[in-house]
Amino acid sequence: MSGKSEVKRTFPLVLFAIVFVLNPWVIKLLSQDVFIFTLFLFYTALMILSFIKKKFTKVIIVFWVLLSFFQFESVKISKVYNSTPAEIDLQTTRMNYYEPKFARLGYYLEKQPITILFYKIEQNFFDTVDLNLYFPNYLNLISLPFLLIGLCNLFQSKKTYKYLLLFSILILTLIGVNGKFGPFLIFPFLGLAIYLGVETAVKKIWTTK
Amino acid sequence: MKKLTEIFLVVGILVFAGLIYLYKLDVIPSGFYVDEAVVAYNAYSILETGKDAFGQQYPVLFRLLGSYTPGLFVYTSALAIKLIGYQITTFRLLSAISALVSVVFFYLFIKKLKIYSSERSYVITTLFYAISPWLTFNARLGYEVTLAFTLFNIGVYFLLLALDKPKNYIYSFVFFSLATYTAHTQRFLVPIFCIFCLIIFRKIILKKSNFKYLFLAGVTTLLLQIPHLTVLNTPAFWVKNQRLIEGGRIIQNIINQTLSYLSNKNLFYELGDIDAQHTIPGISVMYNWMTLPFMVGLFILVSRIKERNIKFLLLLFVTSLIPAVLSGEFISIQRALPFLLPLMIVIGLGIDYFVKKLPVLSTMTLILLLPLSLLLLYRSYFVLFPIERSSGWNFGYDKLADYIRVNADKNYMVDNSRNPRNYILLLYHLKYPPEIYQGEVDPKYKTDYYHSLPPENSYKFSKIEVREISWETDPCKEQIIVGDPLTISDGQAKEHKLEKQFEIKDILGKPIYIGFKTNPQLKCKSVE
Repeated sequence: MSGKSEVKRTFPLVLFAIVFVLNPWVIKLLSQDVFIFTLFLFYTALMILSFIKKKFTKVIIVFWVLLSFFQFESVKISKVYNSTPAEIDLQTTRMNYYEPKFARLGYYLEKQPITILFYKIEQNFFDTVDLNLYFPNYLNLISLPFLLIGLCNLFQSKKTYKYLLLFSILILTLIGVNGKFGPFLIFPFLGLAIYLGVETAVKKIWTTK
Repeated sequence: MKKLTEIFLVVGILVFAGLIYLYKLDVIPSGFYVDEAVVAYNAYSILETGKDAFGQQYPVLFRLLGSYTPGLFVYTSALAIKLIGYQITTFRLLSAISALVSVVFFYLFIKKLKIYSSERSYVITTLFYAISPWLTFNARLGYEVTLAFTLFNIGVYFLLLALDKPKNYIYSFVFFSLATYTAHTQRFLVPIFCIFCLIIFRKIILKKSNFKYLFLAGVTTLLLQIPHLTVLNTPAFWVKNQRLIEGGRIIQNIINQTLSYLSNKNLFYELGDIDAQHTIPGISVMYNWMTLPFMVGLFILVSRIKERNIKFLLLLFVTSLIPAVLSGEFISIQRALPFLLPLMIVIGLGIDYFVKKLPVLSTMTLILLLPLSLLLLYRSYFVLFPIERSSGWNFGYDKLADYIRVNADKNYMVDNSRNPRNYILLLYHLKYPPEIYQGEVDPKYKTDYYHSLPPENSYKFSKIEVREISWETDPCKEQIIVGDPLTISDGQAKEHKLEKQFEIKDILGKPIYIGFKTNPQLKCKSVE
């Protein structure tokens, strides 16, 4: 076997290892739950492999459904949507800020259950897409540029992954990010994006040389 | 789009935005912030005496609240007082006009950039720029940031024009120079932006045929910068620079700051600025729905990086955040204001994408989003903000000044432990004669005006002292002690034999300042 093909074969493996080193959350997860850790590890590896080989798309979807189920299980939905006494107090106080002629509007904007639900969903969405949630708490800051490059690559590809990523964001928007292990549903995609980012950067450097 | 339709639409946007910027301008924000008051009082002082509050004749940099601020806004305010009068609206009106001018130049700038595929996108983006919470907030405050923002944007517009027609370099550098005389941020941003622009567009800028105009622009800039050159070697000129390098973990701070400024959560949901004065409850600097066109716009920005005007936009996007990122550990949305221009254009790229891909659906969505945005703005800025941020905006000092004016024969001790800069609010609201105040200022601040001295912590003018209460000595003097309910509790009032004279309440009727008459004979006798 020539040295060149050996490098070609081990290249994805090395990159995969780098991605995991750049991801302190994975190490933390190992100490918390070995099962979720193994599932996550396997799923991320499968996703990267599937992306490169353009295979196993159906398996990816099945695993995504499984992971979504665990994400649901890790969150207490009632906790996400119930208002705390302080929040209820603030809603009532704010409702009374409106002039009498706008009292009804005040109720709609501050107190009506559907509006409160909307505010909660809005908060969940922005928690999910907030880079500050992931950096530096879950991911190493070094991986940030690779993540951004990888996300661009991911969204340029016409593949299932970007839709799965969007569905993951949607699910986290509905159930929130404060589950037992954090927003782990999204992490395989971040892992894939970082992998693609590192790969693009390495290839760019090799081509330049 | 026909020229006439275009003009009609832009004028319509201006009228609409003008109504938002001017509605209840005197009472929202409720109160008068110290930064507004210090500009206003120094402008009044310049107008009346030709000197600032410290007695310095026509300063290049004004010593305001312990820092040094470029003076263009103060001089403009002095002119505005002459024309309109000495009132809160006068100073805020300057920002409202600046914001309206910025809307015009925003439209001209994006039209010149020609990066949107649909003509409608230019008008839609301008409309949402004009009614964005960030611009609305800045259009309604009475200090220098909005004017500086507008001057910088005009300079950027002319610089873009200059890439094709080099005579515009002269106009560009005139406006850039004026911006450096208006606010700190622009003093750092202008050289940063120009240097990066020169590096990236060197082949276009350094053409032989441009040399004549570049030379003229250089000479004009040099002439305009003469006042700055006269103070270049003083600590006052470099006063905020130390912030750029303070702290140990510089790289990590820069990355964290950049992430924070670019975070969707900060820009579109909840602003992480710790200064209550800078934030609006329930809304961030842009509307929540804009996060989607922003992300799409960013993607387009990166994918079209080879186009010249996209490069120009990206350069603006990156550099406009540099002064804010480098200037401290916490987010200051005020220092990030220049970012509003590229941010909105990137959001416009996203809007344009949807307008092109889904013309009918996106038009209908945008028609629905306009009233929704206005509703969110009404709720947050016109209902919640005046009440929930009134203390941050120093509500109630006008009433305190009214009381002092009516009872001018008494001595006053106003506590400043929770608001160390509140003396300027009293000077402003009392319309205290500047020529008298100049005589009462600590002489050490007059001798070396441009030397960065530590800010004062106690003030005395007329029969008013502003400092922290000394519970050992103050109750033994014949005076009225003024403080908030936390500074002077009921227990303390009882213990020190204080007699309540007046109470100033906030918008919800909660006491915010209480005045107590001392009882030296009773108190000091009991101590003995």
